[in-house]
Amino acid sequence: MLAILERGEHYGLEVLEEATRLPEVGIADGTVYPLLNRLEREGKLRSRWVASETASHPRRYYSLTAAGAAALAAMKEGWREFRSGLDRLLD
Amino acid sequence: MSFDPGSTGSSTSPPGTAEEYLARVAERLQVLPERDRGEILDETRSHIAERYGALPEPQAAAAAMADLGSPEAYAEAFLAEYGMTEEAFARPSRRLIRSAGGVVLAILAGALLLFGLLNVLTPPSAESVWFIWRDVGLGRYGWFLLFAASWILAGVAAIGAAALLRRARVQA
Repeated sequence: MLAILERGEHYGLEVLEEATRLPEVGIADGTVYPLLNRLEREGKLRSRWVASETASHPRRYYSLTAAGAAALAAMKEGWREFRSGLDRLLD
Repeated sequence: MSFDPGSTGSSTSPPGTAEEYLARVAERLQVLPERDRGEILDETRSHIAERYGALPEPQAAAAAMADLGSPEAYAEAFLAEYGMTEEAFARPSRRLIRSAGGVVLAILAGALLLFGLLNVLTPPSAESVWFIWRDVGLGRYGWFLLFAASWILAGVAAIGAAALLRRARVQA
């Protein structure tokens, strides 16, 4: 979720569509909004409501905060270390 | 707490309209602060309108149910992220009994503690109400240790009461 929002501001449905493009992520529709909600309460995301010209309802756009970017960087580093360890094991 | 979007929660009947779906989500989220609940509902309403707005009812509600899960399961996923479990749904009477039990325990523990302190700090006197109890066999400091243990009981009761009050404030 943080990695998707690293690319720029998205609203919930866009995040969901991005996530479902990667079936191996296996994220269900009903989990996206609760997760966004928690990440915002944790200070990793911020949101703002934007009136849409094409949609009948305003959309809630999310973007990364500095804390969210730092958390994402730490997760990326952890993942690279994990992947590197597995590569060494398998080679 | 894991979330199964396919689970149906406590209600099994599918909502007939998207607004009914939202109303059932709202009912389940009553324990959340009003502002948070309102934003969750607004965002879900926006999602349903954009994704299923072209569908007539009851197909829109059915599509929302299929994708997001039942209203109860969807709401439960938010509650889980707030760290709220089935405790949030405990019947008010049960919460009241727990609160009342905590208060009674705190009062009892406080009274025992006062009794113990009086027992240690005041000279023995045949007229003292607590003087008779010294003859039970624990001795002056034995009684005090017993009563001091009631501090622990009082502390536990106070922590429990504080937790209940905090939860009640969140629910308000």
